[in-house]
Amino acid sequence: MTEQKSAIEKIRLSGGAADSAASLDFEVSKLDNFLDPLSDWFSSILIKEARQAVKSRQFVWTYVLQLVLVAAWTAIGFATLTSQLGTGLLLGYFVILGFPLAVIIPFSGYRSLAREFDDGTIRLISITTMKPRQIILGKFGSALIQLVLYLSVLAPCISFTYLLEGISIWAIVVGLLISIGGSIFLTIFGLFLAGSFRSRNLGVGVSVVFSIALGFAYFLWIVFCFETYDGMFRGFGNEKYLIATGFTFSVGSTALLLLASVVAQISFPSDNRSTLLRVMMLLQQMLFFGWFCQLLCQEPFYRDVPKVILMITGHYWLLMGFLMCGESSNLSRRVRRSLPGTLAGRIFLSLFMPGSGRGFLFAMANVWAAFLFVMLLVVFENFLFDWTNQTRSRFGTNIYASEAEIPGMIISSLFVSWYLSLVFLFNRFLWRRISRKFEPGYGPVISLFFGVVLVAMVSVGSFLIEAFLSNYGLRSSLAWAFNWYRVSFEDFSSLTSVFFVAFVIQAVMVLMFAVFLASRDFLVVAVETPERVLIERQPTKTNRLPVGESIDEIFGELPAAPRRDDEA
Amino acid sequence: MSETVEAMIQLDRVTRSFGDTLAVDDISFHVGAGEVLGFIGPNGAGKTTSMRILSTLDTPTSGEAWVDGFSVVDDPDRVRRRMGWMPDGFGTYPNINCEEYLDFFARSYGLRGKNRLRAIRNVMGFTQLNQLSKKPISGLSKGMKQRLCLGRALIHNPKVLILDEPAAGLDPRARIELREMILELANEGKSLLISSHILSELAEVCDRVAIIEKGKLLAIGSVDSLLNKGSEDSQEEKLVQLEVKFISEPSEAVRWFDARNDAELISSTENSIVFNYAACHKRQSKFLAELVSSKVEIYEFSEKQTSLEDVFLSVTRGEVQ
Repeated sequence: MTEQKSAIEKIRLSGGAADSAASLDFEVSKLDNFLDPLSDWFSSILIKEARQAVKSRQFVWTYVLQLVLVAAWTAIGFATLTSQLGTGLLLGYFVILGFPLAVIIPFSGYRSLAREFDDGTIRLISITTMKPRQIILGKFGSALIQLVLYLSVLAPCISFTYLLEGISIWAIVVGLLISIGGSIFLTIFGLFLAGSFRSRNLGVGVSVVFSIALGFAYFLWIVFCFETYDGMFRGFGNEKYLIATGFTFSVGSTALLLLASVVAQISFPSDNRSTLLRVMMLLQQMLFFGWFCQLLCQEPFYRDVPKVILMITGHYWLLMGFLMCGESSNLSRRVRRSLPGTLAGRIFLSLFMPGSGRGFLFAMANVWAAFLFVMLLVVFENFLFDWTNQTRSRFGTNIYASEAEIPGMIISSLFVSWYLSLVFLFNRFLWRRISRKFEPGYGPVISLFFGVVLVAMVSVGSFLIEAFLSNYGLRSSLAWAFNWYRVSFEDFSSLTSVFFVAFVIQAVMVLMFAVFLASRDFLVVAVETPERVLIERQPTKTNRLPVGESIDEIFGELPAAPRRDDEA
Repeated sequence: MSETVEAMIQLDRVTRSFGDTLAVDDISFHVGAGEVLGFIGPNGAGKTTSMRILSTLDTPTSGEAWVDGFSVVDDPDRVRRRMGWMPDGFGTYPNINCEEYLDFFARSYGLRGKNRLRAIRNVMGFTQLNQLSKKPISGLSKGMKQRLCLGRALIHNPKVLILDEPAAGLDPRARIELREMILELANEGKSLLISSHILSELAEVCDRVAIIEKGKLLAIGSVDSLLNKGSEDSQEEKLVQLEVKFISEPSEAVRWFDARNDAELISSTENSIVFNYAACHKRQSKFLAELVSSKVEIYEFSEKQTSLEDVFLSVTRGEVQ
């Protein structure tokens, strides 16, 4: 109000240009006051980042440069391109748009979070009532706003090309979707990097590598545009559709997983950092299964589908399982408050709670769920093919092939489980003893390192044994069976050596022992939430104010400013 | 546990280790409502680590800490609503002005609409930054930035304030202004935990002082009690530092003091001697009478005023290795 009054005063006292300036000020102020309540709906980080971003030199320069380039390319295009004017202009626009989308926005996102760590301001944000999720989504949202602003420059021009010959709506939609989707993924990846490499020294190296990678991504985008000059934008065939959905699912779900991972990284140590990540992993696996079902329906000739599913999920859960086995077994009281209280809840939901034992069992459950899924595919193949009106003869071939491979698939799943069990036991017995010297956050990294070393050692060891045996004219297929990248599917009939039988027996024993130990984590019972917390939860659900008090109670008590000598 | 609920800040046997390094070692203390506790210690003593734990930026390796009865480990979100923290660095952002900075933190603490605007106005008024609201933070002086950071810590009007080296690097005027603001906040019933190297500042604003070195809490008490002035009981024996000025030969005085077992000679000059003497008022009086009747011709006898610096040096000197 005071500002408004002063603006009115200015209007009264001065004339001419000053009048119009004050009038504009007043109007802006009115608009500001009108819009201010609307801003409450947005994340504070988003507003702050947007304010900073649009005031930054980098944004202004990029924006202006983009305007100039668009104008120049339009003029040059009309002057020089005689044939295929529309395609030429569109490609040029996409190349211009690609630079801010592939380089500027992802790097801004990365720097935005990295700077919080460098300047120590992340501490100030962390102790506000904002959730880590809100912080990261705020950063991400700010990148999206920049994306919209950059797009706004090119949107009219790109739309205009639709009127020109040779440009279909597909060309525009697909080009935009790929460029926007790529920019979003790279931005999330940048946030992930910033959250993972927080040390200032390491950050410099990561900045350099990331900027080079972004430059390369932009180069790939240009190549993609020009290489697919003719065919890319002309609608989708069946195969393109499958590739596009597979790519979208895998990139999209990975982006979500990375986003959840950054949120977990900046969460408070006693928070539950695992459940969201596990939900994302499960989502990724389900999307993966769904896509393969679609693939089978569309293309029944791919008889290797079951093996491919098991191979991909096996390696995926090896990686994720190694990380999860490294989680701390000690649950904070905060987490224990949210543990399922009932037996049914414990059975189904405990797997999603943090802890190395639960993580191990979660990974194991998913490995065997993948196996079960594959078995179901084999068993219900008839149903699938009838459903899609495929001929039975094609189908019959698949059944025989799959059934013959079932033993190999069992061994494959057992093999993955064995690796996971060993890493879990390593964490339970060895790492726990020395981990006091390290921060808890190192656990998953050490666990992953141990797992990778273990896999490499087993691979090399089996190869050496194989080589040793071959000197004596013996053949055991050990190297084939234990090769790290290709767990045993084929040649199962030849895997009857004593080594292999011994492996299966000890693997089952190790697995059972690990499962027994891990299942003890399910015995951890929930603790009661303190009454005071329960009482306070009630008003905060409806009232966003701190401590659930009325604003008068809170701000009515703020002390008056102490007097200053000069004012006196 | 009842003490836990009553105290606004409570640390109970808190330990924090980083590998083999013990940053905080079994520390316990509390701060009541409206109380100002000074946290003194040399660099690396564990002050900032303790404050980080209370500010929900770190968790203790063992032990418990509460703010307004809520555990900093189990209920950090509730602690954050009640606590404002001002770190030793400013923590400001480029390309935004003072008002936008406070607006950002007001929003981050969940304040909406008119409440947010009111909070910003109040804090601007309290920290006297009204005139600078549209000024970019990068253009502020150190003192102004410090005020802005105090304003940020106050934006949600917390019951507890944790100030880490708030007066570091400020000129005398800015320090006086900061001290006034701290006293004003304490008068309003807020609990404050303040660390500082400027011990004279702390002595003026703190109700109690805690001395920490190498992670261990060496002493805690009111400033008076630490300065050994706590008791007015004339029967109680206490250690005082006395100074005697004389006009006779110094060797005479030194000889007289050497002959006594109850006085510890600290220093001597041509015409004065400083010594420690542990006694009640009655014994002090007797000691003075004996001194006057000796051959030492004294013209002044006084108790040397102990400062917080003296206490700090005497408490921390080599006690923890």
